[in-house]
Amino acid sequence: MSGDTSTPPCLVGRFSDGRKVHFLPLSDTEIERTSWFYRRILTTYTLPYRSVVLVISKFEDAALVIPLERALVTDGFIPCNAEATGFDAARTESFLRRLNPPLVFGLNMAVVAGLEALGHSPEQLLAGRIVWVRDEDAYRRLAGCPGITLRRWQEVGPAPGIECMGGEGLHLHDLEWLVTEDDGWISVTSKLNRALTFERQATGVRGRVVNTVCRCGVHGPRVIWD
Amino acid sequence: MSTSYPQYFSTAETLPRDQLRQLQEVRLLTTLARTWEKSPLFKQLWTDAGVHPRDISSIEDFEHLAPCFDKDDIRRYRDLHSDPCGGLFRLDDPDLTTIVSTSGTTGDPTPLAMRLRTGVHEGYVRDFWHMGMRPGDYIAQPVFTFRGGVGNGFIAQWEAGFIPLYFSHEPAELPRLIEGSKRFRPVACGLISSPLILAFEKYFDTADDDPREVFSSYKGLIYGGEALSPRLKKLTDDWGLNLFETTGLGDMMSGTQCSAKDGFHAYEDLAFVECLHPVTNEPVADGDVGELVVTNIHDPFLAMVRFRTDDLVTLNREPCSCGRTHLRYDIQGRKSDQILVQGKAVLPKDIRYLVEARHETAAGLFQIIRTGRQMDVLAVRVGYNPERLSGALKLLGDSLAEELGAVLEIPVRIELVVDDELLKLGPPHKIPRVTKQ
Repeated sequence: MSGDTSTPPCLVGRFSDGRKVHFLPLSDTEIERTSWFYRRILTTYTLPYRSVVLVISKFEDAALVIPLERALVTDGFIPCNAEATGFDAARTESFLRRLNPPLVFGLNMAVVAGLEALGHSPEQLLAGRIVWVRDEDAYRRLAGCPGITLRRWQEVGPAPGIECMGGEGLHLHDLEWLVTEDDGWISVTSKLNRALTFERQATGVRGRVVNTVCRCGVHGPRVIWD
Repeated sequence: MSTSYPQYFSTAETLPRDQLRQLQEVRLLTTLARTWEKSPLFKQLWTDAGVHPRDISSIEDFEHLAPCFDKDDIRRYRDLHSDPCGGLFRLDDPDLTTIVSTSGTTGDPTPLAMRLRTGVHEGYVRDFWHMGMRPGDYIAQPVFTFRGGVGNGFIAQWEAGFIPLYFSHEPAELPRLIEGSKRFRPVACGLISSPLILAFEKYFDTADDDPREVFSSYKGLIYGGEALSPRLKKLTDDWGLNLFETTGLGDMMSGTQCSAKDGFHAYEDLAFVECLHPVTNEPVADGDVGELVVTNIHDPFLAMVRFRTDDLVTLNREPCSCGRTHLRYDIQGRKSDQILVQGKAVLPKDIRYLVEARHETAAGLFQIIRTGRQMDVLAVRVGYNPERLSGALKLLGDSLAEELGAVLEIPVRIELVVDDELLKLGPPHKIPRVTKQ
């Protein structure tokens, strides 16, 4: 982190550098830019317009989730929400069964375990859907399950990362972040005005940065998780 | 040039009651016409009752003709028509932007429609303003997502110029909540609950932090989930906290105490509130106990027209010392939480303060185990703190059963479980006080 700029925050979320969780002030302009980034990634999919989208998260995830919610509403999708906890897995199950959302964002291992504890099969519940997972345990648990299009949606320090239809690494917003790799560890530097600027910010993410052309057509760096 | 802000966030808060009623009537008539078009359940209920919105031209007509409905009607419609929305709205409505949901404490959560923001958000911004929040102030928001996503309330707060600090509503977030309180000096807090207060108590028992210093910037904190008990009130008073209790106004709105702490204010420009006899449906006089029945008159999507909330309340339309003209209500209990033991009615609040008075069970965690409509013995699951246990567990159970039985004048059976296990049974901000198992 290099410090505050003159851009006033409109909310304060959080991010992790892999060792500690820090506060993350965000301006409305940053939220809008990230929202555009999400919209660009979502256009790489063929998604049913006006469909319900289940967003699983916690309130502390504001910096990652509010721009996504804004993107979904702007593009005519209908978000509904469940908590990313084992306790609230019943709400996830209920919404999957009743509202049949083709898109699910934010599934994590706590919710997967919660579904199983309630006697449900995550494979059956999620079949036929595009599922963006938040943690590697959930990714490994569901990888290879027939019928589930599995993608990642994860924070790379303060930078939101999301996989496109190609599923070949987390896209980071090219206009917003300079992404570097040092001995296998990913750092990010902010490029535009922010409520809090970053200079080679450690992310705690171990991976590779790929700058080759992605087949989805979105230009910019991708992080391949190790 | 210094900015001089108004005392009330909205001029609607202090409307003279005759003007408030005029505003309600205009909004009500608009709501009925719109809801007829948007809600299949509403259309069916009114058709079955032989009533059409065009039959209603005044609040008096509405009170005489409009049918009431409750959560069971929503569930019945949902199951009969395989409609996930229970007939409250249509998924293919082009104006729909977001689906929010109820807590799901009593079954599958009920989906409710939202267009950008709800009346709950409008109401809370007024409450925060009343506490002293002003543009540029930070507000701590340890909340949850099902009431409209992580952006829950954000648009309304952004419009007011408040800057929310986001936390999850769980004990693991306390160190960050404390760090954020010290660094950003928030003026208000969006939600604190019994489980969070208990977690704070545990934290401050061992930490170096002084709660009075940590919380010194807060002018007010909204407390919700259940009624504030005397023990938690004293504890939070000692920390210098000014808690404003909040409670539901049906599943569509919230009512929150003002600085007078004399009932929950219902914002009557957002909701039309009635108190009806649970059986006859006749209005009961202000001050008498009846069922809270609420009609949304603000939110273009909320098909809650004469919704029976199951809450037993009293209403008070006397002017409030805070200057607002809107009615206040007090919750007496939930109709469905009332247990009959050997013919005697028991509500959770009859038990809570007795449980909380004990050193070992001071967290006040308990559940009534309801095995039938009427029971011969009151079965209660009570949480205890093993570190505070001085004698045998059985002795504690026997003595609690004896004390509760003597006060309530009914036989009582106690099942003891450790506090942490009981907390796992509920959502983050409360535990279900009545359970079937």
